[in-house]
Amino acid sequence: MTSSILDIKAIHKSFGGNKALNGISLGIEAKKITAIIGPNGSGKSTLFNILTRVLKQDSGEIFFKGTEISKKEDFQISSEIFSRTFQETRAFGYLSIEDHIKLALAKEDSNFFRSLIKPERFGKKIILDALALVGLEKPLESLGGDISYGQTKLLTLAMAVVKSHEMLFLDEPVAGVAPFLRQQIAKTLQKLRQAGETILLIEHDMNFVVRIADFIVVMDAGEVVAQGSADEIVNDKEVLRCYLGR
Amino acid sequence: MNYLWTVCTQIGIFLILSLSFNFSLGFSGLINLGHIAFFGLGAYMASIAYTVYGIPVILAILFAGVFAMLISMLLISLCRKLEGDYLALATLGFHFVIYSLFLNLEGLTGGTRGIVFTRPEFIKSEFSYLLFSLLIVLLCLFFLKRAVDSPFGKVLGALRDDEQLLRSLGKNSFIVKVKAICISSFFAGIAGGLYAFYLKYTHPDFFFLAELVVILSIVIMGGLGSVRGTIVASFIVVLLPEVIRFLPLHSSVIGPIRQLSYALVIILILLFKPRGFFGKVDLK
Ligand SMILES: Nc1ncnc2c1ncn2[C@@H]1O[C@H](COP(=O)(O)OP(=O)(O)O)[C@@H](O)[C@H]1O
Ligand SMILES: [Mg+2]
Repeated sequence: MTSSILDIKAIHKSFGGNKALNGISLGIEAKKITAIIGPNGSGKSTLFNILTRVLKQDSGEIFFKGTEISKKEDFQISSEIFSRTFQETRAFGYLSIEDHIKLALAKEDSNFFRSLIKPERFGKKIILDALALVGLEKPLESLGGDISYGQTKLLTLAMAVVKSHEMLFLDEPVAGVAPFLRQQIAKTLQKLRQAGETILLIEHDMNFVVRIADFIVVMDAGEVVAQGSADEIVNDKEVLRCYLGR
Repeated sequence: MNYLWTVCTQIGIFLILSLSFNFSLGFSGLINLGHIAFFGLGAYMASIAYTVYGIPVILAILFAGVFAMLISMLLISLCRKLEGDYLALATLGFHFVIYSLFLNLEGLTGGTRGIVFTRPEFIKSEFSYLLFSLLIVLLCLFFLKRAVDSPFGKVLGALRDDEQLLRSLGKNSFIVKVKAICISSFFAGIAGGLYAFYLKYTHPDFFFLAELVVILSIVIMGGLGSVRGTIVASFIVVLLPEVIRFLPLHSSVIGPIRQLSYALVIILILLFKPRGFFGKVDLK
């Protein structure tokens, strides 16, 4: 019996009449990579958004290390324990790549006077290391709005990783990323896991998931339909039917 | 010569007024159409502090900034849930509320008579007032430039570009908005205080919505999110009507032509150089 770090209890969420989540209960283990798979519209991103407090659930509870977190605000959760990326690519259109990383690293930059008088400083090396981690090769002064889709994915991944956190949420981290970079990101995630990171990710690419995930959760129509190790899932008839369409 | 000094003083005041407007609009992406109201609140605060309570000029101007800032804090707290167009509408409404207070709180503001006063000895001449205001303008300019280049300035840019993403980095975007509006209004209030002592007369008509068109012209011409642009455009836009004044035109058409010239400036810029001279950003 292993203990979980994140406990999700009976989460329900509807958008108008559309039931996006229909009683999700899960335990996520620490220091493992857990992957959520499932067809489009099965509620994966909605679950992520509720866990990171971007959306409020209709009912249900979330516990992190035994403490209820379902009443906190998204920015609080983000400053304390969670780092996340979004499924849709987002970046600050008119800020440089360097500023993106600095925003992720800085803790005191919302403090106006501190920022004027005694700003936190981050050396070039920290910035370059962060970008090297995800294989983003772009001049530091390129603007967030001027880089490609795949590069934006990499940038936000780098930001999530360097921001202080206890758990990492990645919503489709390699969707739209060139194949050779997928390899590199897979390696990076494995390295992070070895370093003790807890990672929860959503991904469509079955090969990628099977390669890196310790544990797989399959969702369909707002419910968890199967969970287990990669081997168990790949051989599960229910999964083959609903996910792989066979 | 005096004429030249007063024009220079006016450029300085409009520079700070416009730069503080750009601070919220271009640097932070917050559409605060009540900016002129804060300018006016500063002017009235300084005039009343000076004439009624005999507070020294420099303190009166500082109070003007602080007062505008406090009122802006109130406004943004009321508009907590509003964004984009709705924030624009609410702040525009705020402008009209404040304007009508200027008109109707006669005991305090003198209503349509306004408040008339004289400057103290050390800044009595136009030249000495230019030097005095230049000092304050340069201080404000230095401070605002430092602010936009600081890490806090990057947080403002992030707020403008993607609030949700900023929150996912653990920043309280609402507090950041409050700070942005407070800083912007503080400097609008300072500009208002300087303006009151510049004119030696404070009247509701100086804070009519038409003034918003002037600072909007400056910010759009110079470019959103550009300090340099706002400086250059302040000179051009403030000097524009001064040039028109010397054209051989009947005095009755000068006023409308002035208004028309601002409209023309905005249209030409939007047509041929949508980002202005030095603009860095487009607002969504
Ligand atoms: N903000 C929203 N407003 C309305 N409906 C939404 C919203 N977000 C998601 N949905 C709906 O909820 C369901 C689950 O969506 P989502 O969580 O994005 O699925 P997935 O990430 O698994 O593809 C879909 O039917 C989607 O249309
Ligand atoms: Mg999704």
